[in-house]
Amino acid sequence: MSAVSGHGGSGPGVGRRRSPDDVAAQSAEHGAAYTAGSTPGQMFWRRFRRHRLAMISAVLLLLLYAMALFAPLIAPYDYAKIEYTGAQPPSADHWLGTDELGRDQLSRIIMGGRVSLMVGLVVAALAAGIGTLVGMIAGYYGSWVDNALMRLVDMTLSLPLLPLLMVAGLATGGSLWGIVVILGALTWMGVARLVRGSFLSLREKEFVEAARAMGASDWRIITRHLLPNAVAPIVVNTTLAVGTAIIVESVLSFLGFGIQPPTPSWGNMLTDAKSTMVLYPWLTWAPGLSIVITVLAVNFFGDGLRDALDPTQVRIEE
Amino acid sequence: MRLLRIFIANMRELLPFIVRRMVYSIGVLAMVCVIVFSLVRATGDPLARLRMNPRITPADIARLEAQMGLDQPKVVQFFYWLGDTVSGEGEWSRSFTHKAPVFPIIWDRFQNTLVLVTFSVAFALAVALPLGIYSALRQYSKFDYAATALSFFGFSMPIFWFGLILQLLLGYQLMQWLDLREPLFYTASMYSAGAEFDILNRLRHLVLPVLTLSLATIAGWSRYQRSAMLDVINMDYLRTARAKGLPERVVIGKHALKNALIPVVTVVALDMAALLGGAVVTETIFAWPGMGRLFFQALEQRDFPMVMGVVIFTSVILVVFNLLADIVYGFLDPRIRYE
Repeated sequence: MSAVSGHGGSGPGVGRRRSPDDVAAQSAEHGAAYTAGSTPGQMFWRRFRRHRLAMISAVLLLLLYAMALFAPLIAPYDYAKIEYTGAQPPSADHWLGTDELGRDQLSRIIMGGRVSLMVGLVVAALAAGIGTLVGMIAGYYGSWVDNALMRLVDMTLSLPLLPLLMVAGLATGGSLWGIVVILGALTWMGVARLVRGSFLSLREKEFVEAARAMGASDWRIITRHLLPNAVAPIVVNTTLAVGTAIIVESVLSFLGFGIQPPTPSWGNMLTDAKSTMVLYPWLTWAPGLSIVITVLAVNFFGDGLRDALDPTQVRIEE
Repeated sequence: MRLLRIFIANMRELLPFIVRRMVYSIGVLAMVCVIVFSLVRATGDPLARLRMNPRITPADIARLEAQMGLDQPKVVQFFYWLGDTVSGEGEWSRSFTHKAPVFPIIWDRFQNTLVLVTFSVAFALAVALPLGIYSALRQYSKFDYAATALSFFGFSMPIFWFGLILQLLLGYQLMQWLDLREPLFYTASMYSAGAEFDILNRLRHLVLPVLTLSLATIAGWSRYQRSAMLDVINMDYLRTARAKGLPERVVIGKHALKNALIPVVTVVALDMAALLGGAVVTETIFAWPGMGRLFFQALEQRDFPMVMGVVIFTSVILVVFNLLADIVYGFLDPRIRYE
């Protein structure tokens, strides 16, 4: 058992410090050698801090999510308020200008960000949930269960994703939760494969055998012994999935099969901007740059997490 | 001749594999059929748009309902649809808006998509492979870091926005700066009116959609090529080649590259299938008359037979390319066993 999987017990565990006894017990259990006085949390933190871009991204993401949470308080204007000024370029009053209906672009970006960031987070969490469940069952029980579930994964991976999402978007009538569920239901396969892989190797380890000998139930072994050791790749993959989900949501909304106006999202703001791009270019730049900066931050953050949580892990790219 | 011999030798192993994969492919297609039919039926009344059309009489609607089996239970409807789709005849396989069978139209548009995708793949390969190889040879150099940063941008950029920005900058702004009457790189359609046979005109229409479509693949493939190259670069047989006194050009360009290209071939085949099916966004933005735009328009007009036709067609392409990628992979790398 390497030191890497040894810290799995606390998960990413930034906020959760554990008592020295706790750590000692775990070191003994997994036979991993820890340097005196450094908890897994501290080890993680020391490695993560070194990744400067990831640090900056983490702060940026915190700010963005705070902005989304307090959107109505921060937005300088009512995002739906129509003024008869038409589209105005950025000015001191309207930092990002106004759109054809005279609505304040900055307020719409802030409210739209609320939708995009929320969708990204919930979709990734949902996909991680489904994927972890499927991967756990496949990896723990193996044999025909594993075979059947992995064929399901293969098949789902060879579906034409975007066309199906577009039809599904139409079928749900652009409801926010409908889109979240569909996106989650079609993007869980990566996590399932990861979890299955680590479970397949972990279940052969001695500590699992020991737990079984002591009479632990399957469920207890899965949740208390195996899952904590497989959590690092799940966290990394889920973080990166937030970025993918934000992009896919924006594509769907841009094409008109995602979030429907008047609710602004970064994607559907660009649908309106497209036809008047040459006249009012600021309407195209702001939502697009918001997406790029957010997703870039998510990707750098995920990259930093990967390095800090599990330096030996092979990079998985979709 | 040598290839043929290897091929025949492989056939014994290959045939059962192909048969198994065919069964699996049929499973995928069945899954697609059920999903797409359920989704389309979940949108409500497939004839809603037609009912609003004053030129279509209630008698026509009643005839359509009977022929499409809409008065039957949903499960029966599914088989009505499946039968029509497989035979290519019947109301379920006739477009509402084009008033003609869907598959000939899809095939026609598919050829335009094929042109776009072929140019994009060629361009992406020409950029991504050298980029990846050079990054691997100069690992952790400034060039490598720059390439990594660029690929991060590529991954983080929604391609529809990239397309819009290209239209704005390289289409419109460039025309302004150069003081031209027409854009240097056109932003819509395949050729200007009346210039159907003007190669240069067609190329000027291709530039921006090709750039848009290849952004993500360049980002992905260059990373992939880099890691594939890093995998082989420290192998013993390369040291042997150097020890024999072969020039570095041959060691890298011939010995190393041969093995470093194998994994990339598979990814390229799979991504190409995805591009053929998923050029919806690029084609919509650049008004490229391909299959993706056909799908987008059909969905907007609730032309469900066409929508389902394109999804099925796309899935068949995906499945075939998946199979081809697997076979080619094993063919190129004898260490791979078909199982």
